[in-house]
Amino acid sequence: MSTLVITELMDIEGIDGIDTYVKNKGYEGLKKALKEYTPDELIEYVKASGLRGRGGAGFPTGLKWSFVPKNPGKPKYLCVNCDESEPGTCKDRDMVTYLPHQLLEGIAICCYAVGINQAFIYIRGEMLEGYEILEKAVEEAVQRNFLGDNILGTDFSLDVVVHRGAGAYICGEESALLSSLEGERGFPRLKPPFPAVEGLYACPTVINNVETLSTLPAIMRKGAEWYSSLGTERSKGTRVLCLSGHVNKPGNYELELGASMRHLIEECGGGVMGGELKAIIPGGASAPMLTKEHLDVALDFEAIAAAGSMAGSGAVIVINDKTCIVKTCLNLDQFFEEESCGKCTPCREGTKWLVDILTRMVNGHGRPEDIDLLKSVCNNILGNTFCPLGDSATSCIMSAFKYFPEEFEHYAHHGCSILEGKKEMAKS
Amino acid sequence: MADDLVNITIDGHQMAVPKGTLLVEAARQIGIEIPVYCYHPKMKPVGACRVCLVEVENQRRPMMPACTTTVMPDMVVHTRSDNAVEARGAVLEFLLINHPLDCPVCDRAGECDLQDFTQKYGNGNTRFIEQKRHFAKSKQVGKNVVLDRERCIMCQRCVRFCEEIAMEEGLVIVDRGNRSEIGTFEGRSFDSKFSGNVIELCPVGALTAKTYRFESRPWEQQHYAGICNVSSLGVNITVDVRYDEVVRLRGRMNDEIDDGWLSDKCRYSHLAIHSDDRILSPMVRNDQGQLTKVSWAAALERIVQAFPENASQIGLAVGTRLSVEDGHMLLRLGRGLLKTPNVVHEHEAESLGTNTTLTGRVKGCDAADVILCLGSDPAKSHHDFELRIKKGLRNKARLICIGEQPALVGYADYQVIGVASELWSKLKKELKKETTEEESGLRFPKPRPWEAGGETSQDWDALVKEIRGAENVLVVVSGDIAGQGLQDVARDVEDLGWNTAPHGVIHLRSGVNPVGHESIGLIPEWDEDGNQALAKAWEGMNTDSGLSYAEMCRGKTEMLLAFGCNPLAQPESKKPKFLVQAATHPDETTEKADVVLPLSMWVEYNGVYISTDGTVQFNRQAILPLGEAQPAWSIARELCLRLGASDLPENPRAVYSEVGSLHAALAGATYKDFQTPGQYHWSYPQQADLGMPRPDLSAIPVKEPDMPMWMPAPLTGSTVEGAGRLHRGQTPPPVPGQRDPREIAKLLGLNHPMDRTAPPALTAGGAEKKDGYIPLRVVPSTSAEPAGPTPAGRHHEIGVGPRRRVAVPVAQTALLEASDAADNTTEDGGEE
Amino acid sequence: MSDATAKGLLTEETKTRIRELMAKYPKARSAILPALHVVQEQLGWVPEEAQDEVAQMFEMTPAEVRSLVTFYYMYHRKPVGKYVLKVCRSISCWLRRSEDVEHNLCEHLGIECGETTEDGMFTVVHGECIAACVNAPAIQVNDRFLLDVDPDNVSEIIDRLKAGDPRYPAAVESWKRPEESKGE
Ligand SMILES: Cc1cc2nc3c(=O)[nH]c(=O)nc-3n(C[C@H](O)[C@H](O)[C@H](O)COP(=O)(O)O)c2cc1C
Ligand code: SF4
Ligand code: FES
Repeated sequence: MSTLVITELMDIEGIDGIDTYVKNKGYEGLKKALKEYTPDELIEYVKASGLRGRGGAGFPTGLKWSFVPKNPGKPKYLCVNCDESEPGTCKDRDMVTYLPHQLLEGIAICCYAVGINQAFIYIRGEMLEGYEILEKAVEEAVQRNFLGDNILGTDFSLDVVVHRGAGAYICGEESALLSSLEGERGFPRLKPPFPAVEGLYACPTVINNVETLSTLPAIMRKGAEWYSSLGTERSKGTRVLCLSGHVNKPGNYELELGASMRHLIEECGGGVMGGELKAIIPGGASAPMLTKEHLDVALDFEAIAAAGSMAGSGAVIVINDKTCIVKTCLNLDQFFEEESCGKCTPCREGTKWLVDILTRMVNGHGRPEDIDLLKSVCNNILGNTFCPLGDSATSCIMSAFKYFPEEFEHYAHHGCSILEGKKEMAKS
Repeated sequence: MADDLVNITIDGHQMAVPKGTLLVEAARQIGIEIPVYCYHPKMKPVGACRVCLVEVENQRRPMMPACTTTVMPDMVVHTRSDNAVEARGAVLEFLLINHPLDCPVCDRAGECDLQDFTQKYGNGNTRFIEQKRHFAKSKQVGKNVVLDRERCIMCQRCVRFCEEIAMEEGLVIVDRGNRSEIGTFEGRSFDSKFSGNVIELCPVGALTAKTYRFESRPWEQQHYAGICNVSSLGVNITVDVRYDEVVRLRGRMNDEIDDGWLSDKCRYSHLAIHSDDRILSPMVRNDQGQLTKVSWAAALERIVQAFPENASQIGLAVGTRLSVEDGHMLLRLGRGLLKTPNVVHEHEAESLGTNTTLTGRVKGCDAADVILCLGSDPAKSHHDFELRIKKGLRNKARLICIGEQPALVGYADYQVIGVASELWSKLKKELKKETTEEESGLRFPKPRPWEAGGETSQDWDALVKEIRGAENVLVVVSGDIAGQGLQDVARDVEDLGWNTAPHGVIHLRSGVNPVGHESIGLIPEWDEDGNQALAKAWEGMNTDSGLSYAEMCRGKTEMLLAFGCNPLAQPESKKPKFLVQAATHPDETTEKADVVLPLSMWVEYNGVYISTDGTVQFNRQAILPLGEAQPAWSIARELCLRLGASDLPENPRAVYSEVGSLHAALAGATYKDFQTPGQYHWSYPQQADLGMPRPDLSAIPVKEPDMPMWMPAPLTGSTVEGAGRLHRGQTPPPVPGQRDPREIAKLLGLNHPMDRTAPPALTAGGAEKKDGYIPLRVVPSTSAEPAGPTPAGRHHEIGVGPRRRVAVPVAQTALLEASDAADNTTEDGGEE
Repeated sequence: MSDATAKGLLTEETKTRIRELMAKYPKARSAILPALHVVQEQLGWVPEEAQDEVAQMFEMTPAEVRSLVTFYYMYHRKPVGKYVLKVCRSISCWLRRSEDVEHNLCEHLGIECGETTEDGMFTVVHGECIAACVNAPAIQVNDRFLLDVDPDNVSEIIDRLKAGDPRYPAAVESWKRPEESKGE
């Protein structure tokens, strides 16, 4: 239904090759940027488009670029965040596999605007295919002079290195990404200094998500005004939503910001699979759960925040009513426990404790006091950690307490899931 | 208010602190304790442990770590608000869920930050009923470092020390998240010259010293401020004593010298104090050529009788481990009474004479642009200096090594191998050439040699350019290339205009206190002009030039008295007709000596030591002399008495005052100068009051006696004396509106622990005690029986109980290995 | 294997590739993670001896390399089978029965999760979200995706891998310590 910006070209056969891409207006955005705009104008242009980061925080992209000092006397870098590991999210993988040149074009536009000559694509190690595709695409683009020295005859040069991570969710956090890229353990770093001032190798660094950058070519081609006419007042444009879980047609759907959850789940996803809708996690595993009352909430940054959750990475996970919420929380927190880097105490010890308590409850050894204990441990983690990962581990439990307290109570008092309980009652 | 001050409010107290101050430090200034684990003032803040969370008004995230947050104008901070208390309690609870409750058997108990802070801020109950995380119990990760992974709270201090401060292979974090543990490379031992520091840094009992495990409890100890007696750097130490036994040495923060770090060479030097082979009673060689124990009186008598007619046939050789006081009394004995010109210290050959002024200081590394090791190998000779050089490198210094290849070469930006003096002449010439060439200021991104991919350059032109572009140059020379060449270097450095303290030349001397001995004239040439006061006081003293140490070792005198040195270990040495040695441990000289006297070690008496860069420091007595051992000054004094002198100073304090009144170089010096360690810097070397900047001693509040027992070391490790401990340590400065506990104690007629200055009197047998030391009183007689209680007897009366002895040879490394072997059955009952 | 000579485990080819990687970055150390991937490609896992060699190449301490190898969970710290089956257990796959995938795979192969079959062919491990959530449940075989797996028919996967089906990821020769392979 809605206008496609990022995935417009995705269905074209062979679009991952440079010839097909160029035939389909590929790299025209870059040409336009180089020809018609000075770097400063370009930053203003992106600001005007209203584009906001798609990596999780939704920070205005043009504004982020403008924080980078103009003449710092040292090199500047771009790090493309393709560490996509947030459970439920798999859009960047598609964009890299199917439209690698669109990403490279976006990278070139960004680097031209900020005055960067060296970009790194930090791709998570598990995306071996994506890595190979990007390597090949970079080679092609260099051959055609869309990358490399003196791009398209200008004095703008850009070298792109594709860098493989090796399995650590935390490296998606921007400062941990920098640590990892410098060859260290992926520990997040202190801010300030912010990466825009002191990032990679202590030089000014821009960090953007793959989707954010992949949007740029279309914005250049079709105009900032056009782009900002899409979406809502404060959430402009479109975004790719990863619909997964209990739906009939899971998939990545590009929708204008402001489309409703109902539209996504029912129209695009073909409705809930295997039962009734019970809960929705609207922004990746870090986002608090919502319920079926929230079906009409619009999928933009503000509306989701108002509903008590967050748009995050744009991953919508649907959970049906045959699913035990306590077990869901356990599964989610197992992820955070496994992926906690271990730097700060509340996250390192807290996630483990949460998993321990939930495991015990799920195994039938819950105690009434565990409810308060869980809440208290969440409270003790929340706001006390070094980076947001620890906070993320609490959001599922806290929201589950809000909407499904009876499920925890049942475990605490009866040692089994409320679902099993019902079954038993039905039998007798 | 000055621009660089920021107004903040902490717990209702308003204060102004310099911009950039961390909240923890600001709070500490007004005596408000914010607990910390990962924070350490000498390392980069990481904000990992979160125990320092405080509430800051009007922030996006209200809970801010005080260790990484710098003050902002009009910041309002609460360290005791409900939120702050809750967050702190939460972090402590988290840390404890996986921490074993083995305080009763943990070495750290009593000085463990986790124990202390939990007691103060913890919740007092446990809500954790799951399985604690388990690792195999303690394992030895280094020669003397034992790791108990279960106790570790992942503060990363040890890891950061290895990476940031020592900049070498060491401990790392293995695995991640809750499965993190501290470790080394598989199967590799953590052997660093500085490994002991991680033990001190560890806030809990995860890292412990093998030599100290299960040896002592902190509350049984007394702590004394001492000076390292291993190198001439003058590193500050804390001597921990349990029932008159030194159980360990720890670093003591002195920003001018050591930054609180301590090398293992010094850290484990106390093992020699109580080693089995200490010489503890006087001995005389009998007719069968065997050393037999005798009384002090008999031994001294034997010496006096052996003095030859011709005074110049007597030599006095003085070890540099001895204090200034020792040196002074030996000078009195030699030049003053025996009237021999031969009184020198063992490293006088490195002396620069009296005309050279060196301005380089240890702390000069910090702001140096270039550190130039000229034929010297600091890493080998002065372990602790290596860390300071590395600090300089981290700041901005380039390291240039000229001469032989030193151990530090892996860190050098430039390295030229060859003959140091020749290379220096070449370099000097080129530096003096005028150039107009512009320096490019941009150093990025050339990696430094210790970073991956960096390498040492041998490009001579680049090196010259580098030095030319430098403002502050620290030239490091060591005793080895001393002599005339060095004097030239010193002059050249002055010509080049580098002579601005703390930069210029720093001369790393062998031994411990050579500069101290030189300052009072223990060198062959006698400086008459500079020592007029002395000549006047000691009427008829010998002011000729005497023999060098090397000559004395070669048997040039009929009689040689060696105090704390080993002349017969020197090349071409020859035993003189009569050889006396005062020694702590047997060595080559002891084997041949005719009389052997037991010598006190440095912790056994008060003394002043002057470090290689001229820092005058006081070492406080920590234990009573072992056995019948006596300090050299006292032995000298006894011999002086026997030569008819009277009015001799009776204790180190009096000796030092005499030094101050007689020696121009230390004019006016008394023990009152040592209010705080390293308080004043005395310019080196000595000459009749050269007009050198002398410290304004009147500015220092006079406090009797010598040293405060508790050092205001803010944080040399977990053992923060005075971070507001419950029962120990220094009282924090009074919180505004609160009474100073010392005042209260006074009102109640009590002694506040802070005001206790001397160790508890351990006198027995009615002996008089001065400076914590019982002077030797021997009634001059020929009787073989000692008069009065012998120190040895006294010692046993105290009832110390059986002393643990390490049955090992003297050499430090050998000591360690031996104790390793001895302890191989693990003390944990072999849980591994 | 013949590469495991006294000279070291890494072949010249591996070393050349690592050196090329190092040259790509402003600071060579940045290439350490890609370099360890190259090592794992050659050996199938990253043994300590290889960590030591890599440390030398990067002028890092071996301890630092160990710290990295253990932080990043993609590096195998012990020998693995020719096929490493990584079952995603995170939320989207879990909602679509990834537990059954794992259970059935293990049962079919007769091993526990984390173990290798006796013939050294298959290792089953679980992984956290592998970014294939809309094709859940998903697994990775030697870092290549198998999507929309039918939990009730995992034996087909094994059969096809065994048969060397060209549409399925290829086997990786894994390395074992000489003494270990002798012991088998
Ligand atoms: C724990 C954690 C994990 C993250 N993971 C990712 C990720 O996988 N991919 C991503 O693009 N951003 C991730 N982010 C967000 C990044 O920190 C950063 O905000 C983003 O890359 C900025 O790009 P943008 O402005 O284009 O959104 C993560 C953040 C946190 C705190
Ligand atoms: S061993 Fe000690 S110093 Fe090292 S991280 Fe653990 S608690 Fe901190
Ligand atoms: S976080 Fe501040 S001391 Fe550890």
